[in-house]
Amino acid sequence: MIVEGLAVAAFVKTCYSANKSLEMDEKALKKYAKAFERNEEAELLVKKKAEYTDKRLANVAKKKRAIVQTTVPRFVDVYSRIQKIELENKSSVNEIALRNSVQKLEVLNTISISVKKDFTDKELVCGFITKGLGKLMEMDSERYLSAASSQVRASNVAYSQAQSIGEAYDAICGRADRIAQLLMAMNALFIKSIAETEKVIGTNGLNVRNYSKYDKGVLMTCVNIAGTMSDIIDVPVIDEKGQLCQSAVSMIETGEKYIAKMNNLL
Amino acid sequence: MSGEKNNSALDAMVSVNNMSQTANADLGITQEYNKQNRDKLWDSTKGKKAYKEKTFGDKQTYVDPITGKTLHKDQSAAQNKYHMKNSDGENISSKWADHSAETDHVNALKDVHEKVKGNPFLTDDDFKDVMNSDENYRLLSKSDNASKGEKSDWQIIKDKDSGLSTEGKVQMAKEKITSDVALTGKFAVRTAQNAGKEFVSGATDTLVNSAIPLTTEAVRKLVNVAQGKETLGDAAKDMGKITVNVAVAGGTNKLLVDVVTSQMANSSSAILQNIASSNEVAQIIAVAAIVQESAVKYINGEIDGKEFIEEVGVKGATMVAGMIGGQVGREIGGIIGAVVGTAAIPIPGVGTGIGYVAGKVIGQVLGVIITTVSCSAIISVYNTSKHLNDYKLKEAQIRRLESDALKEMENQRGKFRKIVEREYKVWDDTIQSGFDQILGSACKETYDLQGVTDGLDKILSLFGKKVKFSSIEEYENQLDMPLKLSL
Repeated sequence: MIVEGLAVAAFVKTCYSANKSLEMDEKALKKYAKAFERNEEAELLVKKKAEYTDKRLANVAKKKRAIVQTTVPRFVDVYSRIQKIELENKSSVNEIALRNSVQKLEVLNTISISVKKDFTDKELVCGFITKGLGKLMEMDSERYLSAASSQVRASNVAYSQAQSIGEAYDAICGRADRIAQLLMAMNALFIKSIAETEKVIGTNGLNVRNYSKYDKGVLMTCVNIAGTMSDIIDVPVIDEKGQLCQSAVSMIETGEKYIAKMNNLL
Repeated sequence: MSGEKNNSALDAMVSVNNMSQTANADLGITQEYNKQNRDKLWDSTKGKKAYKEKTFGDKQTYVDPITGKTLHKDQSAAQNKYHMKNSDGENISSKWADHSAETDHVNALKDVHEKVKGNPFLTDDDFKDVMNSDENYRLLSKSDNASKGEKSDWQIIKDKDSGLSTEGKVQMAKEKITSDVALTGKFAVRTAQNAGKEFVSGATDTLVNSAIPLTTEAVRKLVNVAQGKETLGDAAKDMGKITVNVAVAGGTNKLLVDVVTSQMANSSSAILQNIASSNEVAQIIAVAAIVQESAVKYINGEIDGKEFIEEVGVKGATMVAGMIGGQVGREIGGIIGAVVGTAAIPIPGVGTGIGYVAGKVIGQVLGVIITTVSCSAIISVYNTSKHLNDYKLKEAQIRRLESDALKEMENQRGKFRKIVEREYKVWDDTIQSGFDQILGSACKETYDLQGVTDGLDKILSLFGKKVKFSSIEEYENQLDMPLKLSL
């Protein structure tokens, strides 16, 4: 009877602790679910931004290709009548450079999983002596819940980092769109200038030195536009030495440092 | 330890292992003492009558060894002999009451009920059987029985005005002690039998011989684990070798271990469940529970080293005495109470003198052993326990880091946005301005070569470049050479 009575008392106490533990375990599971969901959202955010940025970069490459494959040959065809042209083709290099320059951004530093640390044997015995089994069970669940809460916090940091990467992608898209826009505008100007040059050459013949100042100016402008086109094609979407890039790098590195610190703590 | 004892102890363990926890609904003594319960549940008219019959035997009279009075078996005979009535049938004397025999309890039902009613291993039937055993009966006169009332034997013995002779008092004391010893033994056996067959017999010697090694080793192992010198697994392996031959504590420890194990098995923690699967580990922990309360007091400075030794010694003594004498209730209650983190459940019982003495010796030795072996370890235990809450500290650090990180990252994004906005404004303004200048200067009617060139230069300035030719002369000077373009 005494054993049964005590066993009942122990059982009741254990049930209480077990119930409390179960409640905490359920909360912990929900928190883990929330944390992993948040992590997924962060990765999705980066993925979507990366995909969109890819499209904008492809658009820039497309514009460059169109200029190099269509307008430039037209210019060479017209202008080479009066002066020999030595043309260096670099479009393919540029495309690779464009893609490579942003590829590293796509990787969102992974957040470690915060796993509840099981009691060591030493902790178990000492905890048992000083706290009792019921409390030890509760503490076990408290650790689990604590680990889950920490996971949520870590996922918040990961999401914030995803937002930072997203900002960097937005900036890249903004710059890519501006370059594309500039290429289009300059190409229109280039085409017009080539047409004007062709007209001048057709009218005045091949000896440029006999041309009027105005006609020489038309030819010089056409060559200057061609040079400008070359320079603009050379402009990297991400200028690694530019303030914008360095700020983006600094911003992302800050986040990476925090994620590393968080991973160390988890 | 003899082989025979080993075998019987091992048999006891097997018996314990095979023992199912059969719930006996009758266990527990009715708590309220009143006339109705006494008459119905505990007193035995039949028993008293049988005792009287047995004591008188074939004789009609009996000399009370305490008072020296001659007692008559038959009340009518006493009434006749001592002339209760006159010839008219009127009552004229009560002297017959001094010589009419009645059976009385040496230890009053009420007194013993008060002592053992909390022992949940006893039933009302046990109480009735023991209290109405021959050892607790005696014959005395009807008048003595009435005048004694609720006085105990010891009160009567000490009372100078009781009218009893010295010899009478000595006789009364003998009867009282004999009865006490007998009742104690009977209650112990009943308690042990009800608690489980493992307590029944022959445990004393086995316990005395093996409790110390078992406990010492268990404490030493515990200390090693607490100090991180040994894992529970290793400790368990060694303990397994030792405990196989220690059946003794088999009985009591089994009860402890079962309760501890069942609690662990109920835990959702995989680690605790693993431990539950190891009886050896559970035994170590069961022993740990013995020192728990005193250790915490010592750590907290509530008792000093000397008091610690005494306290653990006493606890060990009462525990071991309880194992032997049947005072299992309080000890196991105390230990399990500590195990589950509740207050000890005091359940008074009775212990035998032999058991208590053996227990006292073991307890004192245990106290010294625990103190010498584990004092330094207790500090280690306490320190480790303090670190059990380290996860809270870690959580606080993570919380702070999260807060700092989110704040700083948002701050960095804010700065970055401003830089981007500023840079794009410069871009947009410059491009717009460059194109305005080019288009404004390129009309044939108002053609301005310098304006077009400056416009282009303005656009190229964004990238740190300049136009190829800034004047007609410069352009003309290179016409004889190939035009180098990178496109």
